[in-house]
Parts: sequence; C-alpha cells; structure tokens
Amino acid sequence: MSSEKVKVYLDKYFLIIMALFVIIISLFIKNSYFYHILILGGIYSILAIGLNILTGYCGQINLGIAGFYAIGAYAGALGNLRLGLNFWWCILFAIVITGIFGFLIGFPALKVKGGVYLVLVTFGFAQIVQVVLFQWISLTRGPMGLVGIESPQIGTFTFFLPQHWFYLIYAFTILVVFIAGRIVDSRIGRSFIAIRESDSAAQSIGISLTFYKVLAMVITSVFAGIAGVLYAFYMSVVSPDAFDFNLSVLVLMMIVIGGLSSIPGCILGALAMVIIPEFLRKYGQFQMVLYALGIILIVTYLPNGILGLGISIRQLFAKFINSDKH
Amino acid sequence: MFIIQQIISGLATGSMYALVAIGYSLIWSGMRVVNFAQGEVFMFGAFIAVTMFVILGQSFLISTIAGLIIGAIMGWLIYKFVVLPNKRKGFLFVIVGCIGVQILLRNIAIIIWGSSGICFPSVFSIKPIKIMGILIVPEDMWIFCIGVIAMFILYMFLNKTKIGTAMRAAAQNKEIAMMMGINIKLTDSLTFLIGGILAALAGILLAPTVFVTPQMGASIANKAFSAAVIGGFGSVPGAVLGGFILGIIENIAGGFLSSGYKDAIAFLILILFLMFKPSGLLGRK
Repeated sequence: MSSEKVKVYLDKYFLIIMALFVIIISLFIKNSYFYHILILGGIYSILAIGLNILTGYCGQINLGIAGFYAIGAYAGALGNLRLGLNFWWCILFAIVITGIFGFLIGFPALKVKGGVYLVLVTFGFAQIVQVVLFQWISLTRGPMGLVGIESPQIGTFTFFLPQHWFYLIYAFTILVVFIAGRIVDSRIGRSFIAIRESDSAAQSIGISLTFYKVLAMVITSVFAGIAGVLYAFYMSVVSPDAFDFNLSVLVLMMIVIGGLSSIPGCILGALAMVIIPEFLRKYGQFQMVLYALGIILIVTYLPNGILGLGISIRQLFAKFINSDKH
Repeated sequence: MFIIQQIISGLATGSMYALVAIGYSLIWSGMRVVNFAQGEVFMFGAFIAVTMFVILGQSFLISTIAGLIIGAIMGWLIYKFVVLPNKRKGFLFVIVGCIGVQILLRNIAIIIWGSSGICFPSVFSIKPIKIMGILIVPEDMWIFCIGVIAMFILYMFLNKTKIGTAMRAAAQNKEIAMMMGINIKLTDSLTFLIGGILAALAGILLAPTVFVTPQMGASIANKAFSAAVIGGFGSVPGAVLGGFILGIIENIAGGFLSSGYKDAIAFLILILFLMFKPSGLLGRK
C-alpha cells in the first residue's frame, strides 16, 4: 500500500483504530509499568494535539506550552485540595483558567508581525509561570509541591487501578482527537491553514487574523489545561520542576516527529517521545546527548516527521528506478 | 550612595548581557533567525578558558584567546550544520535545531567537566577601592572596560571596514546586497562567527566572578534575550543599551527583592516590553 493511501486510511478511520487499540491493549496487557508509559503517552498526546493546532495548523510557534500545562495541573490540584472540587469540576475549572491565560497571551500574537515575538512571549510566559509556582509558597507550597489529590469518581466507582486510568485517559484522548478533527475540518481549521501559509493573503480574503490567531492560542491552552488536570490527578502530586522549558521542547519535538498538522502523527510522536527515553536510559549521561543529536538530525533530515519518511523513501526508490531507464 | 554602587556593579553585569545580546541582534538583523544556542557558546568559552587557566596553567591572556577561538568555531559550526540546512524550511525548524544544539552542548559539557563546575580564581582584584566616597570593585571595572573595548572594536569593524559594511548592507536588504556582488554566505557565516566570539568573551569575563557550570548558559541566554528586546531586537546599539539597562535594574532590584524573584525580573521586563513596546527602545520596525 502506498504511503499516501496509508495516510488517508489513518485519517478517516483513526478514531476507530484508536478505540480498537485501547480495547486490545486492555485485554492483553497486565504489566502496570507498561500502562504507566501508555498513560503518559496519552496525556502527552493531548498536549501534542493542542500544540499542533497552534503551531502545525496555524503556523504560530509556541515555546511555552509547559506554562499552560502547569496552570492546568495546578488549577486542578488547587481546585481539588483548596476548593473541594471533584475531578470533573476541576476539568471545567482548568479549562476556564487556561482559556483566560491563552486569551491574554494570544493578544501579543497579533500585535506584531514576525515570528520572533510570539516565540519570546510564550517562552518568557512559561518561565515566569515556573518561577511563580516555585516562589509563591503560600499558594503552591513551592518546591514541596501539592500532594494528596483525590482519585476521580463516577458515582461510587473510583478510578485507581492502572487499567482504570488507562480507560479514563484514553477516553479523554479519543475525545480530544475527535474535537480536534472537527476543528481542523471546519472553516476554522481552513482559516488556520490559510493564516499559516500567508498572513497577508489570508487577510486579503477576509480572514480576521486577530480572531483566528487568538482562537488557536485559546484552543491550544485549553487542551494543555485538560492534559494538566489529567496529569495532576493521575500522579496525585504536582510540583513545579516538572513544568520546565525542556517539557515545552519535548512537546514541540513530538509534533515535529509526528509530522506537523497530522493528528495521528501527534499521537505517534507523543508515544515515541515517551518510549524512546526509556530505551536510552541505559546510556546514562549519553542519553541526553543522543536525544539532542536526534533532535538536530530529525529536524534537518526528516522535516515531515516519521510519516513523511514513507514518502521520501518512495521518492528515493523512484529516482533509483528511473535512473536505470534512460 | 547605595544606589550608585548598585549602578556601577550593574554596569559590569550589563556589559556581559550586552555582549551576548549583540550576538542575538546581529544574527536576527542579518538572517531573521534566533540562535538559541548562544548561551551554550558563552558557557563553552568560559569552560575552555577555565580549563586552560586552571588545569593547564596557561596565562589568562592565552586562555582567553583559546576561548574566543573556540567560540568563533562553534558559532560557525552552528551556522553551517544547523541554521543553513534548515533556513528554507522555516523558522520553527531552525529554532528547534538550535535548541537541540543547546541541549547537546550542555550535556557534552556535563560529560567532560561534570555538572558541579569548576571554580575560576579571580584574575582582577576584588578588593573594593574608594573613589570619591564610592566603593568600586576593580573586577567590575575591568569587566566593564573590556566589554566596552570589544563593543568599540565591533563598531569599527561594522562601520569602517569593507566586510563590516557588507554585513550591514546584507542586513538591510538581502536581494540588493546580492546584486551588488556581496557574498551573502560569507556575511552570514561571519555574523555567526562574531556572535560566537562575543558570547565566548562574555563567558570568559563572567567566569572569574562565579563558578563555571554547564548550566550557566541557560540563565545568561534568557537575560540577554530580555536585553536585546529592551533595546530593540535586531538593533546592535539597542542590544548594548538594553544590556546595561537590564544589568542596572537587576542590581538595584536585587537589593530590595529576594533573589529568587530577581531572575523573574528579566522575564517580567521582557514580557512587558513585548506587550507594550515590542520594537524596544531603539528598534526601527
């Protein structure tokens, strides 16, 4: 099957494929470490899909997704511990709060042309968030973090086993994939792509840059916020050092590996970036060197991500075959 | 009196921020690209110098020159292998590539030198002298003066030499510069080379005052970003101005606030400027 056909099938039936994947895994896998990896992969997928909307589809670079993720996680944690909200209300709470921040940060995006300003604003924002989380001890207990977040419940059923979390997280992941898919296929998604290709051309056909850029930022921050709440409740502990710049870079790598503006790619990328470090762990300090080399090589030689690899190999073969026939 | 002392020691910090910030602005104005690995070149320059000075027992001058040469080479390597191949694909790829270089260099430094760092003994006197009733640390004055001399040399290079003028021309308008026969690849690689030298110099200047650690690149990079934005991202005089302003404000604020929040000041100023005056103080656009 040609790789383009694979792509089309992936996109159309992805939701079903994912649901099948979840069911099959839960039937056969009993190892809780395995579940942990997959669960983290699911949470990161939501982050990646969110970032992809802003950076992959709308073309606005965001170096600070860890900041929104952190706000979501702490909103969830504080909502539960200080306000007594349960898991589901915390999700709503986090959506509102991260949405507000996304809106506030979104404005600089339209104030200035040229990619560097949004890069620096989002970068600075995430750094400030982390510093504030460390320093505002009365609110966040600083480096000691917040502990004892309750497990989610539906009625009398409590989610606490790895399998429970697996279902819960992937239920959210599938929901996010669905929503993202609807956004991308709609007029909103096409406007995003138009803006990515050319600011001025999009403007000239009546697309409001302000509205769509801010909308993209809000969508991304809300997704990150949801992922944050999931993370907080799953780990039942949050602390500021998890939300550093390296995390923002990691998520960026996920969407580059998966191929920008491809939702299945985001999930592949997210799973890859969770699984690969586990393999590299045995190299100790070299782990990070290999990771960094990987970043440089992938960005330089595989800009279309892993899914793009199929296309370039085919082109490689095509050249080889054609050069024989003179 | 206290304020004046803070201002004077802020000048020393400021000249270092300025040197790194100039690198960012030069590269941005010439190539519309941000070199996120600048901080790591800073760190490597410091490490090479400290290795030569402390471990190999060379003189400070030779150690400095070695550090500067390494800085230049690293700047050029980043250009050749990360920036140049990725320019066509767009900004995102250059940025992520440079971040990859950043992580790579930091971890190579950890492997070679360990993560706890090496102590660079003071080269200049740290005993304060009293001039007109104000306590001045000679080390601060040396750092300030060397920094200013470097900026002056750069100014002469950019304005009085043929190649420097070519670089400025390329920054103003690439196509016309190419039509005039200016070799853009040459000016671009020179831009990165100079950025590398400046960053390494800043690192070498800072090294005697602190522990040289693999993490020092990260914080200077952030501060220098703020400095460059304050002055107007892309403007070299702006970077100088922004560097000094940031150094002074940080020092004054550091006297009143807890040191944890002091680092946040640079970010706060960065965001405020980006929101309300993104073109900075001296920027044109």
